[in-house]
Order: sequence, then structure tokens, then C-alpha cells
Amino acid sequence: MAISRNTMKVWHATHKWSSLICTVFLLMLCITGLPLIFHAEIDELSLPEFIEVQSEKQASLAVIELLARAEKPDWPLIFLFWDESKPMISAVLGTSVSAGESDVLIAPFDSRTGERLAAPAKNEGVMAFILDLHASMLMGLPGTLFLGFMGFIFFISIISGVVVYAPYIKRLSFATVRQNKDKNIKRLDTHNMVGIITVAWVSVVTISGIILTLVTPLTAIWQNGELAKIKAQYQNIAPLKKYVSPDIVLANVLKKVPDANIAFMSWPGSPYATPYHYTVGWKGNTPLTEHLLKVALIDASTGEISSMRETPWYLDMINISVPLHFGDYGGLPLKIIWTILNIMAIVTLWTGLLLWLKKHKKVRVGNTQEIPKNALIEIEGLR
Amino acid sequence: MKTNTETKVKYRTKVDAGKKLISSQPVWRWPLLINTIALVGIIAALIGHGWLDILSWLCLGASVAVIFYAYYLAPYEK
Repeated sequence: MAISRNTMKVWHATHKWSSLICTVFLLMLCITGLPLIFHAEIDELSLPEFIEVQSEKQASLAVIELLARAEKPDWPLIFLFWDESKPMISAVLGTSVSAGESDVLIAPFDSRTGERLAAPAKNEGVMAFILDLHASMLMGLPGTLFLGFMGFIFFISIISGVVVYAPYIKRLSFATVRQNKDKNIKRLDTHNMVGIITVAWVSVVTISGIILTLVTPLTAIWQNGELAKIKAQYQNIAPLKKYVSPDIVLANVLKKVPDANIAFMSWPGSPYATPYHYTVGWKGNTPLTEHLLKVALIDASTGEISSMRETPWYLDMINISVPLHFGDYGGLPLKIIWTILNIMAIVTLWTGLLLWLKKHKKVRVGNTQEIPKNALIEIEGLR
Repeated sequence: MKTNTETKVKYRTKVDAGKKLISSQPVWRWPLLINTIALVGIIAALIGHGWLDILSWLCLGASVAVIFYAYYLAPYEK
């Protein structure tokens, strides 16, 4: 590889500055991300014991709608969502159908009996707080997009880090950690060794994280594109006075797709449906399809499926990014390995930060003479 | 643009005379191998379960094992 010395200097500068910009945020993301790997296990602690019911009976969605609406008589039902692992359906009511996250009530029900559960809602509790911190620093969409940008800067740091690894390792054998008296030498070796070994994993988690920060804009593309097109066809039709029962909607979807793993049902008039349609989303039940969401629009006056298209690629991309980001798709051992790799990322970030701080300090106090000659060459990469 | 050889010479002259140069070792061989295995591990559990889960634990666990070995166990001669 013919990279000139000047070009390499630019790469070093790129690595230094991109890292300096994003390190604090990345440390926050790594630390808050640790408990999120185990969100399912932690959530379970706060769930009620589910009574074993022999049959896989489905409670009436119409009854769930009635019970939920009784709690907030003036609030419309926006959507229902099904829990992935527990027999639980949560009803989401809002001050209006387009209410923001802070103006909604989430009411969980047993999906077999229709009984209201005393479980804490999904948007409350410590885990919801940590997720909010992790995904937006409690600052909503602007916070999320900012973190996405930090993820992008971090990706630049990863790439430049790989480039500057080449001249460093030419003088050493792979994964050497010199047990030197100068702690900076050992720190540099640790930074480079851990960084280069985990680069693929860190890249996957970074890219999937960046994609997840784009959920809102990408969903808006779908709403303003495919959904708006269907809505436009109904422009001259009077608004519906009465909707068909959600139970008929569910039955028709399951008739068409018997192995559907229902994920949500959006009520007519809500942002993910049209005034004339319910929207039902489901996942497959094979390893290849269990993360991918399919969506159908159901005519709210007849209960017939009126549109069932292929999910756009960008929504598939989001859905596949969720497991790849949180590592919750290969059992408990994978989660534990994910945790260790996360800690390794913290090690790389932390040693990188210390290397910069120590070098900075030494130059500032002007005692560069005292640093062993060897160390200067090694730390040169940080200039 | 300086040539590759010039760059190499510059780097070499800055290195301690006592340190053995291992410039003949392919720089990317080990990182490429380890990271390819890690990617196989990341994908394995995504496309199937059962033995593919186990494959993913082994492949990603290998990265952890190499780090552990390099930091705590690998012999280092000063």
C-alpha cells in the first residue's frame, strides 16, 4: 500500500479529531447500552406471572378496545401492539390520534383472556428511561439525529483508525502488548490490539445504530409515499361513521397469512393507517423472517385486505438493524459475548482518550525530553 | 507523493536499532481472519437457530479469546 507520509499525517489527524468529537457520546452510548442488551430479561422482572393457559386462545380485540377506552373516555385508541415473547397486548391511547410519546397511555392486557394487566407500561420505568437516554439523551428527535451524526463521526474514526494501524503494526507482531515501564506504550498496544480485533463487530453495531436513528425520517418517507398514495384514492369518499370490528380484521389477516406473528394493529385515522383503513403489521416465524415486518392495509368498512405490498427496503433495513444493534437474537450466550465486546469498545475508547490526554499533558509541561525516545515514536501516531 | 520505499525507509530510520523489524509479516492477515470469523458469527444467529446459534457464539467468542490471550497470556520478550 503506497500511502505517503503526508497522507498518513492526514489520516492521523482525522483519527484524532473524529475521535475527540465523538468519544464522550460513544462512552455514554456504550455504558447505557450495556443494560439494554438484557432488556428482555430485565423487563420480565417487572411483569406479572402469566397463568398457564392450555389453549392459545385469542382475546377479543373489540373487548380490549372497549376496556382501554373506558380508562380515558375522551382519548382515541391509536394502536395495539403485541409483546414478542409474552402473551400480552398493549393498547395505546392518546390525547389525539397523532399524540406524541408524552401524551399517550399504554395499557397492557392478557392477549388470551383480555384481562387488564397490572404490568408497568412500556414507556415507564428504569429501562424505558435508559433507552430514552441511549437513543436521544432525553431530547427527542433532535437528540436522536444528533447521536446518529455522532455515530457517523465515530465510523470515520473507525476507518481512520484502521488506516493508521498499518504503519504502527509494521514494527511489531500482531496483537503484541508490550509490558513496558511507560504506561503509554502498553496503553497504545492495548488500544490498537483491542481496536483491530473488534473492528467488524464495532462497525456492525455502529452502522445499525446510525440506521436506527433514522427511524422517524424513514417512516415519514413511507407515510408520505406509499401510505399517502392510498389515502389519495379516497379523497372524495365521505369519512366512515363506523369501523368494522378489529376481530374481523385480525381473522382476515390470519386467514391470508396463517403463520403471521402479529406485531401491531393501527386504528383508522392514526398516523400509520388511513382514515379508511386499519394497518396490521406482522413478523414471520422463521429465523430469516422473524425480524422482518410485513404490513397490510385493511378496509375499515368491510374488513377485507385492500393492500398488501412488499415492505420497502428501507423499512426492512431498520428491522434488521434492531437485533444487530442490541445483540438479542442468539440466546443468552450471544448477549454475554455482546456485553464483553461492548466493554472492549469502552476499553478502546478509554485508552484512546487517555493516550491523547497524556500526550497533551506532556507537551504542555514541556518535559518531552524525559519521555523515552521509543515512546515518542509510538505516540507520534496521535499527533 | 513519496514512493512506498521512501516511506518505509523513513519509518525504519526512526525505529530503535535494537528492535527487530517484522516488516515481512503481512499486516492484515490476522485482523482479516479474526474479523471475517466475527462477521460469520454475527450473521450465523441471524439466519438460523440451533447449531447456527452455537456457531455464532464460537465465532464471536473467538475475538474475545484472542484479546484475553494477547493481554494476559501472550509471552513478551523485551
